[in-house]
Amino acid sequence: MATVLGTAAGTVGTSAAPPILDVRSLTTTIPTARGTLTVVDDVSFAVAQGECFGLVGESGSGKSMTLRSILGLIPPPGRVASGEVRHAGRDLVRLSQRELNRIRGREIAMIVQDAVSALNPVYRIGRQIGEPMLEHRIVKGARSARARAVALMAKVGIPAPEKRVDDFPHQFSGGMCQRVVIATALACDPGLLLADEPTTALDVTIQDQILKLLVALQRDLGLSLLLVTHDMGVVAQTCQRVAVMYAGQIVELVRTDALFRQPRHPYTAGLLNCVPRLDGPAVRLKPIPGAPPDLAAPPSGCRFHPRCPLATEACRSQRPELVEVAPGHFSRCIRHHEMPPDLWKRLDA
Amino acid sequence: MPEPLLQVTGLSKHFGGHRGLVARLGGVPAPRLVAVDDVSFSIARGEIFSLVGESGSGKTTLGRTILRLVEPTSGHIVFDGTDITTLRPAQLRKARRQIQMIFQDPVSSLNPRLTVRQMLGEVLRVHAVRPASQVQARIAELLALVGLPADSIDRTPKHFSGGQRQRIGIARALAVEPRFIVADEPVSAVDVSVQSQIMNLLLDLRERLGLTLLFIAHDLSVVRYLSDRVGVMYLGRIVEVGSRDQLFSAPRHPYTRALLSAAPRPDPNHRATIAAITGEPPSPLNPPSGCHFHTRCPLATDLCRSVAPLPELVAPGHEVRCHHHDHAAVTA
Repeated sequence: MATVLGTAAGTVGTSAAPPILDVRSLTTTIPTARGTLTVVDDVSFAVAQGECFGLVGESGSGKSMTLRSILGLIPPPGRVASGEVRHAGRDLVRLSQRELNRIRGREIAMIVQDAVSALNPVYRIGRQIGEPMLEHRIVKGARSARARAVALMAKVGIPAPEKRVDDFPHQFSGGMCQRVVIATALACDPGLLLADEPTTALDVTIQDQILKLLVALQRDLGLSLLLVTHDMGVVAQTCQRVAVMYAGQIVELVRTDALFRQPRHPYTAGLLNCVPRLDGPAVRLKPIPGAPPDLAAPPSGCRFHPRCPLATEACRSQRPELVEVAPGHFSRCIRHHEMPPDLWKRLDA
Repeated sequence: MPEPLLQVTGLSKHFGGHRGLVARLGGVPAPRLVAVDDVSFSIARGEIFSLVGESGSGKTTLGRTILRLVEPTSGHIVFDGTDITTLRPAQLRKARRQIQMIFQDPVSSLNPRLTVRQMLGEVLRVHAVRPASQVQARIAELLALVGLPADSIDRTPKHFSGGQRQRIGIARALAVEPRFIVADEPVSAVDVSVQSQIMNLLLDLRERLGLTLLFIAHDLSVVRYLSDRVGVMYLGRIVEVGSRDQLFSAPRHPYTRALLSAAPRPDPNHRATIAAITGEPPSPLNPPSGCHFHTRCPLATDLCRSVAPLPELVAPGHEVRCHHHDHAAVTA
């Protein structure tokens, strides 16, 4: 039976409203010459109305693939092998491309990492922001699309929008291109925004501006946000809840403050322990040994066991389930109750 | 004070701006980009000195200029008492045995068709560091030094993870037994869980081999972890330089403060103490007059718009280029 992870009473807010997005046992596979890779492996989570939910993980953890699977954007021969993506009473996995096209950009919009290449270099900015409005017929005619584009540019903080609306992408900086991409995503007033590493390509002062913009939009427009990132700092400052992914699976899912206060999966604890800090004492970091696994030959049992200081024989043989270890706090670790708070600090690097 | 291993004085690098035939016939001269603008600093023996800045700040060009992979427009680079800015190619090749580089991208900086044995063997042969009979032993020694398994020797880069590839890059730099290494963003393309492995390796190698490092990075937390001293760059200039503690605990330049405030912290309870920096870095092709930072600076006055501040010593070893560094200290 599929559980609606994290939408149980008392997790975020107290709203009894159904989640805007409910992902259940999603599994995505990609056939390759080296065998079939399960890039998203039985992933379940739900995004509440008005929530910013984070998917955090390293490269190859499946976070971007999860995002793409939601909107049916897995390039063939990769495919969603099983599971459901429930949104507004429908299962997106079962919709045709034509039906999905009515949802993409209209009800669910996406922001990608590389804003500069996401924009068409030969179209003026105003036309690119206006295109989804015309496509989804939420405005009548190019003139009103352009007027709305100018308003959106102002909303996302592009100076002098009425002048810049006729510029081309190459006349914009990387940070301004990301603002254009956000304005395009907002063009049809979607309820849910999927953001795939939206600030990774940006400089730190610009990243700060874009993250603040996303948080403000989420608050002011009542948007729900599903944010994919590799950066625990970005998670800490933007997300209400977060799922940590490792080798295609969610290994921990909880409110952000609880994740940082008391992680209940050894991988999360190790990750938090090995990132250098800007404050506090400068102590030697204790790295997680080894490297993330090759998905063509994933470890048996728990995918993290070869790198885990708590691993036992059971971890090698038995595939752990994601279980609720405290109200609203899920962990995929059979030894979560034996995890000492200083698990990684005791190790010799 | 002992003589530094590396002393950079008034170093500048300009790109473009040539007075070509068209310009002389009355056309428009090519735009000139000042990537590195009158930069001076020194690095003591055994020290890790970091240059931090955003894209376009000139930190990478500066690093490459020190190896003379990019020829400086003016200024001097003195390494261990020798001015390497004027060395001829043959002498320069010799000097490069002392100065090596680690690159950011462990994928594109390794030849995909060479095995580890061929890659490291080539370096040892070209620089004739060891007699041919000892090359194999030296390769094995290098692999152990950077923490790669001995059986990696006959594999090509595609068989390694990102972190292991970066270890190969480090082994290649160490092959000629350099005393000084320029490491340009060596951990920014590596996964988070592996980043600390590579950083600890660099710290250990410094201890074991007595290396001196110039570390180039954009990530402030990485810089804080690795560095003894730090220089902050903005549009080609070093705007603040000091010890790690001075820079991170008592920054005096408004830009350094803004950078520290903007960096995302892995702490949900953290709240920024100063206002976020507004605007974007100006184009290095057309930098603002006076202090380059005045267009984004909350403290800017007419003086900042017209006169470029000179480096001022605010504490021993702590230099700031800001007309209002005293004010900056008060509004913390």
